[in-house]
Amino acid sequence: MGKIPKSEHNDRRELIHLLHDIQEKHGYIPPEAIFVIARKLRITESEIYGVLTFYKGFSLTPRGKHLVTICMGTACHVRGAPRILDEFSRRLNIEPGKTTEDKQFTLETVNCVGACALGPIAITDGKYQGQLKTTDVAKLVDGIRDGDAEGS
Amino acid sequence: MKISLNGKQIDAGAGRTVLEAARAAGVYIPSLCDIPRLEPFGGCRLCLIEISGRRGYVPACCTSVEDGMTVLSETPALQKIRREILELILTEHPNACLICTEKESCDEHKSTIRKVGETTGCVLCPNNGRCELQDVVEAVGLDRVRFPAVYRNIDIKKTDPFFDRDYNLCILCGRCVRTCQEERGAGTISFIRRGSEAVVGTVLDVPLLEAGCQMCGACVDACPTGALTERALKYEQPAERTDSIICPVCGMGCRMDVSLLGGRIIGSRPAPDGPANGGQACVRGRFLLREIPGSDLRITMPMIRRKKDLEEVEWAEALDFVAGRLKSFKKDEIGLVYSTQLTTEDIFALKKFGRDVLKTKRVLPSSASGAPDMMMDLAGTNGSISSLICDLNAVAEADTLVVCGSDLPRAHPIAWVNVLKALKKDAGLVVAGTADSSMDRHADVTLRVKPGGESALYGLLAGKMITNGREKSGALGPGSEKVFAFYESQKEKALLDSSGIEKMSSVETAAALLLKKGKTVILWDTGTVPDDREKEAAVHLWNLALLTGARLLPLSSTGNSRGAAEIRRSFAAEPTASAFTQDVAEGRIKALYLAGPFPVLKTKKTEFTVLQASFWSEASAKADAVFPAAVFAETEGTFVNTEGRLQYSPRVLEPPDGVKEDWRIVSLLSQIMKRGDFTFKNASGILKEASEVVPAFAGASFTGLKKSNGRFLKSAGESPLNLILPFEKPTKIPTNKSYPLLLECRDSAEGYRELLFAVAHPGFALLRDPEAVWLNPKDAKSLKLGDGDPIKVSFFGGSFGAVARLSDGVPVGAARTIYAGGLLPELSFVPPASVFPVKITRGQ
Ligand code: SF4
Ligand code: SF4
Ligand code: SF4
Ligand code: SF4
Ligand code: FES
Ligand code: FES
Repeated sequence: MGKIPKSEHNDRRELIHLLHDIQEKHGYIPPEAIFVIARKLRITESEIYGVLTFYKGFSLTPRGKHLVTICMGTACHVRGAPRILDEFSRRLNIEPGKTTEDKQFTLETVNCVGACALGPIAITDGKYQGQLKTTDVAKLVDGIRDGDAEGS
Repeated sequence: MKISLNGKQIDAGAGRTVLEAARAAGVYIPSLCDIPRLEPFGGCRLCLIEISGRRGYVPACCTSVEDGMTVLSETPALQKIRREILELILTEHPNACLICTEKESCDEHKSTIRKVGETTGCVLCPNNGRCELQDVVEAVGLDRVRFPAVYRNIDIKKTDPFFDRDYNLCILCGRCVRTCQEERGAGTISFIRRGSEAVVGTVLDVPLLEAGCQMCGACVDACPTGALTERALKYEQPAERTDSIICPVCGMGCRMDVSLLGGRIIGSRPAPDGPANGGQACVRGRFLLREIPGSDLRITMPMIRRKKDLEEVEWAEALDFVAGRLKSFKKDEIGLVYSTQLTTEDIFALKKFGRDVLKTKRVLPSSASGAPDMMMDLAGTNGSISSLICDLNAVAEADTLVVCGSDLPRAHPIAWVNVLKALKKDAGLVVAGTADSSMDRHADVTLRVKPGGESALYGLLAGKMITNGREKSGALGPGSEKVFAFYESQKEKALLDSSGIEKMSSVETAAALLLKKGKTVILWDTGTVPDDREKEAAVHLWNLALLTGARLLPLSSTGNSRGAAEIRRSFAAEPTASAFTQDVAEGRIKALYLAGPFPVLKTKKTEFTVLQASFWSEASAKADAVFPAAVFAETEGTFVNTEGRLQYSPRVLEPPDGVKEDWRIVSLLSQIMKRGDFTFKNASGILKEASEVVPAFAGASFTGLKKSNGRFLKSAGESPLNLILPFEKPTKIPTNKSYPLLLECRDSAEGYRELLFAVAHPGFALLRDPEAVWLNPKDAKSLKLGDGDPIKVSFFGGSFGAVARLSDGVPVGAARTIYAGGLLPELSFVPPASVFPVKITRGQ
């Protein structure tokens, strides 16, 4: 059984270090960085992309302070997830996958978070919000904003 | 070593895994993620086994055999686990057909309404019928899937040439990812994301081509499901039969399993037991072979030009017409060109035809056999070549590898596959060349020389061997003191300058690797038109090999250039390409007999041109007579690959009506012209004669080759090797103020005979544009050129049209192109050398 050349171990460890540094500095990994790292570490871009998408901590788009994730799984979908998503989009004035200009909110979608019975579901900063109605969206967004205002 | 498997004693070779041992003994253990050639992965867990004395279950593919081990693979508990694992795998895979009780009868009733679509079952899956997943389900005996099916609804990726990727069918076994990374060193695809979102893909989901894919197809062959499928096969019925032939395209000599249907080749896959390629191939053999025999450009009728136009005639008439005209030319007035992608027998017959029938010494191969030819030239008086060169196996076993002047993954893919095998075992790699390549990231040192700077580098390295340690004694031939003195008196700094390498330290690092104990192999290729400078490079490499005890593998460009190089040694010396072209241009060659691609030269001096060709090309417009010739699969014969491996390739296709083998055409002409002895009845008779005339083929016969799986060429014993005194004055690349850039032309077999692959398949043109001339962006900027701009490349004695492509990998002041044998009208030129000064201006 062949051994993995030492160099590969080092490269991978160094890759994660580098990605951390970049994420820390920019708040995300700009796609151009992948190509620079590839040259530097002599790993292919696809290999880097594999590592970078493996860890949830790395993001390819600038992330806002608050993360809103809408479940678009089948169960949530039939129960009106698209309308909830539209409402968030409208309220925050961003497309799914994007971040507000003031860097406060990032809106994302996922496929099924395993709580179908509670659908449609949104997860705001890690908190599950089940059986949402479009009318709840404004409250949620304002709630998060107010929370910030109180905290500061 | 013996182990007990399910109560039976089986023999298990040392170092192998339980899964391999079971396979070898013919015991089936279900597996999905394991591939014999790859490192164990342990991803699918289907191969779980029980070993007495150990707790729990272990994957057979990751467990090495130990003497006396007792293994169980069929216990009820294991079978239950396997069914559960399969069920899990199938929740994300269309499974309706897999577990359908009507499965058997379904095949017969295909014409009725299909109950399920591609998204839910096998019926429309291109893999149906030869699917490993189906086999495993069958073997495990699954009849239900209890979990709700999830269809991932991932867009099918169809933007790349040759194959589609439908990741809805992917079971994430990782065979493609690992093949691409481990076996091909390309790293084009990776696992992206994880958990339920995991997919296989490229960086930012770009098309494969943009992620550095060479379209070798190895991932397609590795995929156990229909996720990766060859596009051309999607619309074909299953093949009637499969046959093994030798790929005639490049010098690697891959054995390919071609699938045949209705007199056509519908596909070709690398033969797992191919002696040279062991289950690997490249884009050309994998996806282009099927385009060759049935090409629209195929010539199928003899033609002659009596007045203005070419007209179709019967063979007899064409032969008479040509014979009559050829007879009217005197000795050496006819120039003969032969393709080095023909069989040994065709080439031998053509060479003999030139000598005895056309009575000319002006005989030229359509593509130079550069490196092997030069090394054989050096051998003669300096020792037997067989003590110096090596085979691909030695590459895989090497501790240090030096790649000189070749982009292996593209031009010599199987050599590259073997380099990677050595790298897996921690071999050192030095890459010397003029442009960036995908090999660089695997290299310990990259020596970036300027075009024409190679021989300075090799001289420098040979010198370092002496100054850094090699003892002066040793049996290195009578003149070796002089050679040592030569290298010791070299001016290192000046050599570094002429090599174009930035830092001496990188040369030192390479030298240190070469001085390390262990087996070293140097792989070397020349440019398109080998010249004195490359002869000089050959001498330095020869010496370098002797000084370090290394072996050399000179790389040949086309399917049989090595065979041609051997045959050539039993005939009169051939002219150089430039002498030949000058003879044509200046009318010393009055007639051309072209049995291989040759650029159309703008001369009115040629009085008569005969084409013995399989495809229409630029030359057809000038032809006075055309003989339709058979292609590889339609001809029985042998090929010699870059290692010197002589292999037999059978006739597996009937040629179209009216098409004859090359050797038969010249035999017929000889009989009509009543010149020469051409009484061959078949190709095997030609090999018999060649084996008597050409020492390297001594004793070779079709019968023997068929039985023995090919063999290495004989060379006259093993005699000691001598160092060779290099040229006193290094050859300089001519420079010229009016032609400020240095253009380097390289060959890499981008077509078959007269058919350019870029013309045969649009997909190939995307991968490798034959018209591209690569420039450094800095030079492009000062020339006000952008990527894709049409350009005119002028040199002393000619010019050609091309398309500018920009790349940082090309040094400033240099340009680079793959010479496609003059097969496009814009590219109809013969390069004066492998590297020559040019001027680039904007074209129309
Ligand atoms: S990959 Fe195999 S099991 Fe899956 S749909 Fe295709 S033929 Fe059926
Ligand atoms: S075709 Fe070859 S290079 Fe491209 S992804 Fe597949 S294995 Fe990798
Ligand atoms: S594409 Fe094929 S080989 Fe690759 S992971 Fe999926 S099933 Fe396995
Ligand atoms: S072109 Fe060369 S490497 Fe590719 S399949 Fe043919 S012989 Fe093999
Ligand atoms: S579909 Fe939304 S939680 Fe399952
Ligand atoms: S074959 Fe052993 S885990 Fe997949």
